[in-house]
Amino acid sequence: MLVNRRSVLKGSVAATFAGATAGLMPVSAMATPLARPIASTGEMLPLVGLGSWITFNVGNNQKLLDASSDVMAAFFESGGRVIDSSPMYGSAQATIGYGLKKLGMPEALFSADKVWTSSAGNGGPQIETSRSHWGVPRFDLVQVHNLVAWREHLELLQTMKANGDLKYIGITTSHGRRHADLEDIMTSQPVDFVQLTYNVEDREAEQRLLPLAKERGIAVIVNRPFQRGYLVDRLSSSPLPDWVAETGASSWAQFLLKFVISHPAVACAIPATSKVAHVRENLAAASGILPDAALRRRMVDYIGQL
Amino acid sequence: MAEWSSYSLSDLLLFSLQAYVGLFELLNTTLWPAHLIILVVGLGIGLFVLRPSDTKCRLVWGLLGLLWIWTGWYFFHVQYTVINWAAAYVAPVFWVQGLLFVLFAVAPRSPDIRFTRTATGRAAIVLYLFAVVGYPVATLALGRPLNSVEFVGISPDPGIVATLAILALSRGGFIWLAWIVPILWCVLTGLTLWMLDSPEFFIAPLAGVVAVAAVVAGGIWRHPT
Repeated sequence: MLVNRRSVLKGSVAATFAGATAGLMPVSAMATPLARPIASTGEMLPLVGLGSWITFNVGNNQKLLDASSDVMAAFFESGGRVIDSSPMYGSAQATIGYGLKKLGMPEALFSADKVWTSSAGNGGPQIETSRSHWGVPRFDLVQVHNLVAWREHLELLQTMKANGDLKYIGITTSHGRRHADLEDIMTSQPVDFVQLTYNVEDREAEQRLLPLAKERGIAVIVNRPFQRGYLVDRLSSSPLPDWVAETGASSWAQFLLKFVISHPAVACAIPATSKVAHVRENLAAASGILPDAALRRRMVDYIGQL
Repeated sequence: MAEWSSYSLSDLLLFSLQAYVGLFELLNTTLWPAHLIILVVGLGIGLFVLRPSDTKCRLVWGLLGLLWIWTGWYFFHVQYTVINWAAAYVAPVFWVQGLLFVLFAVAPRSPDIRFTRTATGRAAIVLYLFAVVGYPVATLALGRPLNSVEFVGISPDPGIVATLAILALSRGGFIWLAWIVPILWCVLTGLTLWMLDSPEFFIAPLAGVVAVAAVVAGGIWRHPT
């Protein structure tokens, strides 16, 4: 189910009015990206989130920390919710925590992190360390990163979920790795989310994983929608086709994001960026019209010709 | 194994050039004005090398040992590890290299540092001066902001170039052991900067090539004393 922009706008205007009258949120928070429900609960997620791989790994450099929090501010002002990180991403979690604190811990936040350790016993302490970096009372979603020790960690996450220490559990892969294993897990384990790589060039997930996710009610988070910026860089020398204007896309980044989020199984794409203009552009891709099946085929064909 | 082989080098890079350069900005801000003291010590070592004695040689090895142990601790263990968790595994390698130099300083037969008026000697001295004085200028010329240029003793690359220059002037039983880590680091830092699209990627590898070429041309390894 795709929520149309008008219904989201109605709810958002009401919420924003309530927030604005309480002096809590700027009027710019009226931005309303398209959203889809998480199948297991019906909770709505905007179709574009924010990744933190590389871009938020800025160490203790104050200037870069502040620049990252500016990106987060623009993200929330544009209606974003999902921020994704991992203990693998250097200082990204601490950067997110810095930004969240500076922004007064926005209520819209949907915190998605990962557990990434080959030791089953270290999973719990690592999640707690991650949580303290973010400064949140609990994570909305914790995913097993790249299927590392997934049996042990999924067991832990299920226990945490049952105890109310997190809302959702998931598992991730990237770069098209271990899709067969992921398929087995999606079939046999009670996960709410899977995260995988999907973009206009890396479409293997279309064959089995995305249909399976749809069938089993598993929300899909998409990483590497731009192949870490490579796709945007490569396409930037080519003209954006006129026919894509009907969707409202005005840049290659929006073209690429609209392709990803228009797949009905996709809950959210999580492009990472260190630029305020780019995060606004990314969120704007979750507005207007999403390509239908015919237009998606045309997009693939067009990219294939370039 | 099959999984790891599917990663490209750039997939293993956790940070951007901006974050990497920002690390040196932080180091320079935190440690200033230690740069001035290090510069004086660095130039002093250069004078020691030009007119060496057994005591001066031992002092140089000891200072090099301190440099490596300090770099391993402060740069890798404290600072770099914040943006690159793999740096925690590099720190002990620098400590071991530092201990090797300390051993050189206290060994009964300490490796000899000998400047000769040969192509090898002159190349090594030029390389040493480049490490101490020229490196920050080179990084500045290649686009680094002034507050994030790299200094010997503050960041690893110029320190390694200085080490290679001294090794090029050295001879003795196990001196070859001391070449391994600096040369490997030249390759690693060159690859890192290349993947980050930094214009400085060639400096450390080129310094490594110059140092090795200098000793090979001088035949020092073939005729140890």
